[in-house]
Amino acid sequence: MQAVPGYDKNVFVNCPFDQEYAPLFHAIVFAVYSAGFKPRSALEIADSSELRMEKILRIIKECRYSIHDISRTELSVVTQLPRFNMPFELGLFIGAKAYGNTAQRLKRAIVLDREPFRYQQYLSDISGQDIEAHQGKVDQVIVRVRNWLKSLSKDHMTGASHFIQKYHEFRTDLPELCQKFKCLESELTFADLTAIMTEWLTLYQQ
Amino acid sequence: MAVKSKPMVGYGNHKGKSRKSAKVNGLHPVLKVKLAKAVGKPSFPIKKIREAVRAVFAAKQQVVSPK
Repeated sequence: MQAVPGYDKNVFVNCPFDQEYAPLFHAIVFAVYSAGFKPRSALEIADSSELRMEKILRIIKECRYSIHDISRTELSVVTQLPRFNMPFELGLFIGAKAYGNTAQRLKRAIVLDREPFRYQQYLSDISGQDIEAHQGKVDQVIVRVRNWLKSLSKDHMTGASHFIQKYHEFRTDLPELCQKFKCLESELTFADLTAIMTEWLTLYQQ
Repeated sequence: MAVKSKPMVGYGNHKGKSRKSAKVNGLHPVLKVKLAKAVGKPSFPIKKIREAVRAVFAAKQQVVSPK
């Protein structure tokens, strides 16, 4: 019944990829790892031979769980147009769950926004889904993601406050680690970030 | 008559050790999570990343306990 190896531990992270959102993105990825799951993102492979849409569809198919942040509703300063990628990928995930095989129907998602009930003004079709507000704060996003993953996991897990404390320790160490790699934090790829996080968490747990 | 050896007691992989020694970093073994692997190929060798993380942890421990 399992779609692909690791399907039950894969979490698709669908969120903005800009620098402004980076602290929240890093916190989500960290919380997913800390809970024993594997974050997956469209950023994970820089293979230009694979179309972006194909890549997203493949990752969605390989993930039982997903985190969708639809908080980015502002118009672009340059184009004066909104970004529709996050709601679109949420729709793809819900579609895969509705029309997919038995394994795909086991999919679970959490939808994040800055404020509770704000989504009803711009995406009322998802009323009734599991929507959580993070107020644009790192600590809040960690609490939401940790508590949601705990509700899906049979494993024991430390509390949300411990997740937050761990994340802040990691953040304190990250500039020094970047210095050792002679790179800026903003230059870290998704693969770099996940490799550093897993090594850091492995040592933290020892 | 053969002497029966005492059964090993302890916690999971820490059988035979005391509860105290089984706890590392203040985290009970039961609360340790089986971590997933990193995603994709990082820009730096994983060995170098491991060494760097170890160095940062070692430096922190020196600050905490200067002995």
